[in-house]
Amino acid sequence: MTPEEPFAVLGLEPTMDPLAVKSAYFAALSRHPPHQDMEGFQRLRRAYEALTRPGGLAAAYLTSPVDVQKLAREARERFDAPLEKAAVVARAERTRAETVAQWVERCSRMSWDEALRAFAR
Amino acid sequence: MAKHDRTGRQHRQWLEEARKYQKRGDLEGMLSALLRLPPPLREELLPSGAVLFRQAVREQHRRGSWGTLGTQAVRADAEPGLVERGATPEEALATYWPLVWAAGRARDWERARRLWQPLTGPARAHAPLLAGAMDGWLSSEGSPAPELIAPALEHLTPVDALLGIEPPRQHVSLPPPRSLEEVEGALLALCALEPFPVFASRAEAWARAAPAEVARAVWELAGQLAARELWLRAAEGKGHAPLAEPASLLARAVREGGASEALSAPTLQALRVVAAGLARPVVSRLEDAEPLCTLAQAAALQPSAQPWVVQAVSGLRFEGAALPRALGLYQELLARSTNALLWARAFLAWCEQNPEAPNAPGWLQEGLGRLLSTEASSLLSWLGGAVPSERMELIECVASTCAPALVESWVDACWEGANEELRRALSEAIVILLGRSRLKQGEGQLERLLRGVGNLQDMERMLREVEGAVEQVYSSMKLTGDGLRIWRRFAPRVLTYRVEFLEEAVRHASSDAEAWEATVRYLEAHPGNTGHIEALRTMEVLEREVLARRILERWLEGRAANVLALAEAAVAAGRMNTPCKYLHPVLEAFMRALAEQLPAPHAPVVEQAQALAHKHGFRLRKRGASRKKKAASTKGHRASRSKKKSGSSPSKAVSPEDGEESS
Repeated sequence: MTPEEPFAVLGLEPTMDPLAVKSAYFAALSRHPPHQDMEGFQRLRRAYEALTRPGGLAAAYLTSPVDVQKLAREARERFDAPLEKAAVVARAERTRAETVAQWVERCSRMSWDEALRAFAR
Repeated sequence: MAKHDRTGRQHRQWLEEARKYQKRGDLEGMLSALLRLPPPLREELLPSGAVLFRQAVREQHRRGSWGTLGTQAVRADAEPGLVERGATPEEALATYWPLVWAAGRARDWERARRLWQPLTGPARAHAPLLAGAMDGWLSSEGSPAPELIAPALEHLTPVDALLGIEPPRQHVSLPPPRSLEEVEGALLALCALEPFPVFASRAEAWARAAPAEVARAVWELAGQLAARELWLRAAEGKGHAPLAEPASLLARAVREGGASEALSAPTLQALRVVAAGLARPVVSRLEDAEPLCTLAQAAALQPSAQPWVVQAVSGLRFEGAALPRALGLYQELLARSTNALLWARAFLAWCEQNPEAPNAPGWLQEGLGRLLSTEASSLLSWLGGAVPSERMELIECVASTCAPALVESWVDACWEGANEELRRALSEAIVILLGRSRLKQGEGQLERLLRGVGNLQDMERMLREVEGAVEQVYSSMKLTGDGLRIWRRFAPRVLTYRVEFLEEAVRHASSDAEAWEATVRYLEAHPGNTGHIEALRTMEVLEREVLARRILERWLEGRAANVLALAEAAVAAGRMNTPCKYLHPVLEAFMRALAEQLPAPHAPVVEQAQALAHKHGFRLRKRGASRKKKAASTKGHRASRSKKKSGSSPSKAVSPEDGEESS
């Protein structure tokens, strides 16, 4: 079973700020006091301990969910147009180069007589 | 004059060679000699050579041997007579034609243009389209305008590919960037037109072949495009495996491109993307570990990101198939950063991966050395905050596999600030160090013993005999050399933490008084029954009867006439299988105290002690029953009397040592 994401349990965006973790913990504690909601309190406690053990905050931040859709969208906005433009140029260049290569390949294999016949006016 | 003679002699020699090869019909041999001669001297052999040359060109053209034809083009350019001597004009033109193509295909444009000259006129006259295309191809050095080539190409009859003679469509590779200005266009085009693996390998090849400045620019943009690919693949949500390729290119770009600042943020983001959704904080699959470790290594190259990467990696746990890859990451990070948490995590991972290895690798030992000299307190903090099982595992592993001097320094550095529980744990390191010293000592002795062995059979026999003995002797061996030094250094601090240390102290004590002093220190730290029983058993092992008696007296003194305390002592001694010679006095003391305090206090432990006493033949004796009467009793009597209820009748404790009759 995957453990709960500790930032989410504390109602916090992933952060590297230990003070923000502490504040979020105490704020959440007031919503789940141990004498009223033991289970909720224990979840909070587990999350808080996971974030405050040595290296825990950095590891939790590292493994917290990332909005990859947003990253992908930003990357598209930045690169898609230049990529498309470069592709058009490169395709044209490639076509030209391929035409020349084809020309060389076909003509160089002909004999002089064949060439004269093929291109005779 | 002499020089002139020498040249003449050389020319004659080449001419002879050319003649010889000509007779043999060997064109190559003949041409290499003939073309060295000055033109007037070639005249003799040129007609026959030209015939052979033209034949060879025809044959090589038919076979498509463009490399050889390229050489022939050079020869024809140097000696046009090879093409023209004795040939009809048509034959000469037909020979020049393939040579033009050979030179052009070899990008020898100057020569190609020279060889094309004789063909220009006939081509313009009979095939202007061909002439135009050829002029365009040669003058643009292989990059003619499409409008020059396309019409000529269209003029050729289409060839049915099914006949198998249509040349395959040429796949043209994109040219690498030659300057900074070309980098963006070239790399974007490569990324747009090629599949990602091709893009990655080609970009790497470009960067390796380019000058440093261009290479850096290639790596930077390749890294950004790798990050883009990683986001796109992650957004598709097809798991971690597809992320490995772009992650690897991004990491290479960071590493090879000199950790460019522009790649810092994408690398950290990529690290988070590949780490997100792991069954945290444990990484056990290689396909998860690979991109994670690769990117972490790359991210740590940025000084600003390094502390965060080190902390984040320290907070993860690798296991199983992920361990070998993780060890590579730990090693690289520890070379850059001194961090107790990371070092401890690395050591634990190494132990898990190499449970039988006798020595820790240099990088882990050096890491400990660096920590001891710069951040010793952080080692103590880690030990204090670690879960007990991990703490013990680390202590055992470090003590078993690091250099003894390093372990000593480590224990020293942590001891002062450690609490009692941690000191007890650290004392295990000393136990292990002493064991290692003994083992070394034992191995030395065995080696000396085996030096006198004559053959393999002798050795086998001796090993069989010696092995068991060594095991026994090993544990009772006195420490020498390094072991003794370690013991003397740590004895005052560790004595009270383990009974093994009491054993060591008594074994190495110079007098009974010194041994007793150590025993008292131990007993003061362990005033309970277990401490006394362990001390007694230690003296039993060491055959220190007098000390054992003194321990026993001290133990019983402290519980004199206290039925409950004596009952607890007796039960503990019974549970720990204390030898009878020490158990019986305790039982006797208990029974005497019980006899004095009848009726017996109602407590389970008293009942257990009574049962134990009964099992060992102790009975409550009636008050007033004389020893004399008892002496007359027999076993049978005892058995029959024991069935009677002692009930309320006053009784006295009698031990089996007093005589069988006493019970």
